[in-house]
Amino acid sequence: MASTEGCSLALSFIEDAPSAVDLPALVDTYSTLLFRIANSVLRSRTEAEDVVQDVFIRVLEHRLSLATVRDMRVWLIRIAWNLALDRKRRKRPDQLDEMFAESLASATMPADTAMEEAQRFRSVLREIERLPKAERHVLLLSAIEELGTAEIAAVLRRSESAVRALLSRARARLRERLEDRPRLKEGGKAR
Amino acid sequence: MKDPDRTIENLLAGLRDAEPPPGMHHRILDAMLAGRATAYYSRPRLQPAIAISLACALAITIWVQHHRHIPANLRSYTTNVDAPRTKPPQTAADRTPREARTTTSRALLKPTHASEVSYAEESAGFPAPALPLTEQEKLLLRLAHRNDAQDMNLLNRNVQAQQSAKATQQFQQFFGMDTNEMRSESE
Repeated sequence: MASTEGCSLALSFIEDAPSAVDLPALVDTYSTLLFRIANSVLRSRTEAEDVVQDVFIRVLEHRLSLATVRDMRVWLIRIAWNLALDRKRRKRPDQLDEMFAESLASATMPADTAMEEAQRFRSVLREIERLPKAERHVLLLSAIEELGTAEIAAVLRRSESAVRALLSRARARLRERLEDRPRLKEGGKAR
Repeated sequence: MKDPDRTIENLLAGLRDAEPPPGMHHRILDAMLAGRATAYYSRPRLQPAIAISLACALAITIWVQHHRHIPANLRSYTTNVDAPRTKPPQTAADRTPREARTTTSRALLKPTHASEVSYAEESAGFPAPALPLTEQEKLLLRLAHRNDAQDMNLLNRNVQAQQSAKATQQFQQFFGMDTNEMRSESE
């Protein structure tokens, strides 16, 4: 903790005078939120951390023009979102789910049910990947509790009503597909 | 799948409650510090490089301008030499090195006796060739300038008059004997 404070002090000390934004405070305030956003897209904690680091390095590079940013929170979220999507394009989809589903299940469930839950999570994650892009993006951003409809709309550059409609469609489609999944499996076995 | 809504909610809750790895704040601040330090140290390194490049560019410009300049008397020489030709006059800087070299050696082989061109300027072969002379060109140059002093004497009227008087005198000495002397000599 003391070393973090020392680092913050050093960083604020070497900042240029024209930059009125307190960068260590920005890191403290937004790094967890940005991590969750990147993690929901990338499904990898290490890569999500890399994205958060990239975001703040970009902030540092553009620190002189930060004063012109109207909504710092939305601006940072959009940078993290775009960086995460950019990283995700370079990964194979099957790389994403296995470990992530297990880690999520073990974090939320007792050990005896975690395996079964991890299997179900994998199915949900696979179906989320199959959703139309706009619906998938809205669903993932809506999972982050701190984000309201207005902020999601600002990040995705859509209207709030469009965001609400997309979210509703995404949930309905996902539920429908997950309900159909055992039937499809049974149909596949019968054939 | 039984109760898909519950599974979806659990999954989204897992995404929502994901905690960053311990020490992430510290690592981010370290990375920013390193990035800031890199930017700080890379900036002054650029300034001398830019200054040196500008100085070099300035020096080259001055050198080119200086060597492109031709004295006024030689400019008239160039104009006079090229006047009968249809081609527009070229400066030494406009020519390619090979062209400049051949033109120079041609000028040395066939000197033009324009009244305003002094011998010193002509023998200096101005403007200077762009490249060092080849062995053949050096040989031709030596041949062309071998009897320069005598050739110049021939152009001098006083020397010509003296030589003419001397030749006349020798002729008179030989053919100027009277008839009796020639007869007695033959006998």
